[in-house]
Amino acid sequence: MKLKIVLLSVITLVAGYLRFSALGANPLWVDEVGFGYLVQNGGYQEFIPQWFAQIFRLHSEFGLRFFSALCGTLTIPALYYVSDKYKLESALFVAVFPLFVFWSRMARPYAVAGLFLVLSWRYWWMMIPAVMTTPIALVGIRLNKWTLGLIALGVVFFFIRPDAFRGWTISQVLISSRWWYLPALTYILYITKWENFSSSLQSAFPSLRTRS
Amino acid sequence: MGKFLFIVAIGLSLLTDAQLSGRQWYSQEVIFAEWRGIPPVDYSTNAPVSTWYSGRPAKYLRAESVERFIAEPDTVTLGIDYYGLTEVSGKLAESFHTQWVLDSLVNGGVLVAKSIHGNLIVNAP
Repeated sequence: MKLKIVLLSVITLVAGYLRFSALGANPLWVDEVGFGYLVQNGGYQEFIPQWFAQIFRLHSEFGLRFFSALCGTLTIPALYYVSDKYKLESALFVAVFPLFVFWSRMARPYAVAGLFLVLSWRYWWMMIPAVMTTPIALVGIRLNKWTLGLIALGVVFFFIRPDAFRGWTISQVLISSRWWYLPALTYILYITKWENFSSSLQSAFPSLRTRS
Repeated sequence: MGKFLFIVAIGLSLLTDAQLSGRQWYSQEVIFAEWRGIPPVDYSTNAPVSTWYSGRPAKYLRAESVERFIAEPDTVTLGIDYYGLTEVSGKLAESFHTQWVLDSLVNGGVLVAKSIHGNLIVNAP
């Protein structure tokens, strides 16, 4: 146990290094400037990172990106504690995977949403089966961990940021890596908890037993 | 099997981390242009960033505002970057045939030009 805590600490430090090193070196990108104006003038989106930057009066490149980098780093121990399986492996993967590192270094809200996704993971799982089982039973999709995973990805992808589709072509949406931050994290969470939730799903929904 | 896949994925991620510099990461969708230290301009190919760093609002030079830009009666200043997320930005940069101008813009630099009815004069730094 002590060794695992030491390893988790090392992984978190690596994650922190990748996210915080030279954080303010690059100038702000146009979307980050949009966030900067939200902090400066107020606005009705990205509330939590906006309030954080306003409270601490953060306006520099480093300051505007700080909360995202902090949440991206805190996602590592959070993931470790909510996972049932592959705890250290998934923590290390999220710590170094370029998608997670890059978007944690931007003054954008994806890493913040990612941390909350991990922290609320048990509650997501309580809701998802109830929402999904009826249509699945109607269309007769064979339920297994892969189809459930794909549906979970779809749910997150379409509903977490519906504004993503305003004025964007489908190809722009698909190639934009930012939209994959939460689905990718969801998938990792899903892999780490499948066995645990599979049994609870099957006991809650008897029809799944014959389909899984 | 699961552990093996994680190890492969972690290895690939580390290799990618080690090879990529800040400007190259996700360079198809996020490019940083160095607007820090650029003086206020009248028009900009990346108006939000230009305005943020210079402190004075700049008009956006986009496809729909080119005619207005050319019709300006006086000499106006224009801040140009290559990656302003609009087509004008890239096309304008590519219209320069001087190598140092192109190199500067493509590498994330920003140039300030004077425009007289759309004729641009760029001074070497």
